Amino acid sequence: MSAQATAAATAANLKFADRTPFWRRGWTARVPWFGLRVAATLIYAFILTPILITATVSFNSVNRSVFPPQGLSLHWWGEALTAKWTDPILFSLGLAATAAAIATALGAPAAFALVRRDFPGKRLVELLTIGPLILPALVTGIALLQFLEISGLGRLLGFPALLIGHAVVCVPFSVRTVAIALRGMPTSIEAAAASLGAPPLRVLREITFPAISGGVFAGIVFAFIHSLSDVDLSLFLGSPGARPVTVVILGFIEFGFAPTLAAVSIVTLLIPLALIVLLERFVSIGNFLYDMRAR
Amino acid sequence: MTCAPADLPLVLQRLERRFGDHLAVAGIDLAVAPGEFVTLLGPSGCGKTTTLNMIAGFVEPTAGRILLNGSPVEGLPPFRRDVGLVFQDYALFPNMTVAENIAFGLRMRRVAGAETARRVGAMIDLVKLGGMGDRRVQSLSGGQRQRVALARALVIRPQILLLDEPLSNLDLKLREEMRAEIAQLQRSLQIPAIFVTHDQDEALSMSDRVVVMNAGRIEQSGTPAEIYEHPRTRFVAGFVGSTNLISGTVVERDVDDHRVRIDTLVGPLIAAFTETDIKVGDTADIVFRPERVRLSPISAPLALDNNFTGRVAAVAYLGSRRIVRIALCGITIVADQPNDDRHCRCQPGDEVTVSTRSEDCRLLIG
Repeated sequence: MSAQATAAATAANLKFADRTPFWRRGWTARVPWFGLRVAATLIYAFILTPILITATVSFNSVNRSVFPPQGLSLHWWGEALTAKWTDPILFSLGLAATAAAIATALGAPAAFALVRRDFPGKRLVELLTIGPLILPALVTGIALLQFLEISGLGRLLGFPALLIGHAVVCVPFSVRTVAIALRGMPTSIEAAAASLGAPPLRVLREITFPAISGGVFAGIVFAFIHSLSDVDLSLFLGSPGARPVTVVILGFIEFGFAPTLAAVSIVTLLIPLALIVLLERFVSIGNFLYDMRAR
Repeated sequence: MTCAPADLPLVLQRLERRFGDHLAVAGIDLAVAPGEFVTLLGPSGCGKTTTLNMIAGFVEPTAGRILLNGSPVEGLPPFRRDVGLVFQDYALFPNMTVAENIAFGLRMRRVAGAETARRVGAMIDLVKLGGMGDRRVQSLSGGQRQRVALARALVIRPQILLLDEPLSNLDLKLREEMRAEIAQLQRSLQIPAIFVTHDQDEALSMSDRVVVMNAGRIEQSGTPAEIYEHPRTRFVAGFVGSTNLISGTVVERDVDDHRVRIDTLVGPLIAAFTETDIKVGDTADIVFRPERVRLSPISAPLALDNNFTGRVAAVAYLGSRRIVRIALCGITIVADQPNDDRHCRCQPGDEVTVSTRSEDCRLLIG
């Protein structure tokens, strides 16, 4: 009796200990939490303030990026939305969407093999799929550029070369998110479907895919955002008339930081932000960033 | 077991599974009769789940045969075997409603829509989930999920129902309810079932037949009463229920009366036996259940076939019963006494007479 009672009492204590507001606990408990809040606030301020300044600067009425802005005008936003800028933005969006689709088409099966199978050289494949994430994209870009030129495929520079490069560096995202989703799903549901008469492809389509769709979706979004914000690779693999918006911004900045650039930057920032908000509605991103569900 | 294999829903012949050097299932024979509820009982690693997985088709046997209604199924993938499977973690499809989960097997079999709706509806009512067909499975309690899993496996009218520790994720009270419910459902539908568990209470209360497994082999197969009251091996005696075990040497045997006298540490003991090849001089173990031990004060001792004097070492009070431990010539005898007026209310330190009837003492050889 006493053992059970003690266990119940301990459980109750644990439950209520968590509910005590932090300012009601002793100072030894308060200080670290307070410190953590201050640190987190400072970090966010450090990240977000420049972006807020950039956003404000785009509303300047003079053609100089001054802060606080002088006057208020939508002139630069109008300029940012002309073909000169919308073309590279659309180019980037198309590139990112195609690269994300290809990366997921390659990464998802790779994740299956890595999670579900044991094969010789598995560790190597694991490293290779993570490789592009660790290797500076600059190096990958130069290597790919040289490879294409040496092998006489220089004409691929522009959209095809960019697509190859972006797809390669985006593969790790889908491998990782799909692998996490696969490890988090109970394999017994696949066995249950098989025992109920579902052949392997139907199990994959009706049971496995819906169970890991969050991971697949997250992989696509991460890959898309990564491609959209890439400069390093794009610097080497583009061609005149086929450059992502990041490279065009970089080229334009040589003539000074005009308010137009601020407006364009905000547009390219809002797209991934909107995607993340959309993603968070369907799946908990934390699961795939910190691998919370993984064993 | 006189039926031909073709008349039996399931026959296992010398079924074996090897994983590397490890023999997980070491050639077992088992036949399940129509409508029979068979439990595979054993500790983890005894091969019971591997056996179940071989029947379902998730593990291929390395030797032996599996006959489902007379036809061999080794080599057939799980989706061609027509068995119903219920998992420990329920394994419900999270992207489907209760009704969609139950209808899944019928959909795979291309059963017509109206027929599917009728059978799913009937099954939902049968497992007492009426009105919950449109619920998402995440909103169900553990017991309700287990009912959906059962309904999903039964609605396809499988040749055999396989249950892999289906109750171990439920709390005690619900587990006892579900035991009765599963057994009753299986009996009313007359679908033969194999139930895998390590819980002896489940095995004894639900089954027509209990098959005790250990280290990949069948130790003993019999009705729950046979398994509990006539264990044939030391393992079965020790695994199913608690038991007192005393070793000794056979000094005399009476074939007509099926009684032997054994010389043991605590003195001579008379026990019943069923095996005929017992010889004087054999070493043997005597087992007897704690609830078959009678205690009496030494001032007014009972006179059964075997009587010893010991000292009470400890008494555990369980409300309806007392578990009394008695020290006797260096060993401990456990007695399980109903808490009523007819039984001795001894205290630790008391000297008591410990008595058993010879027919309650089973003889195990080897």
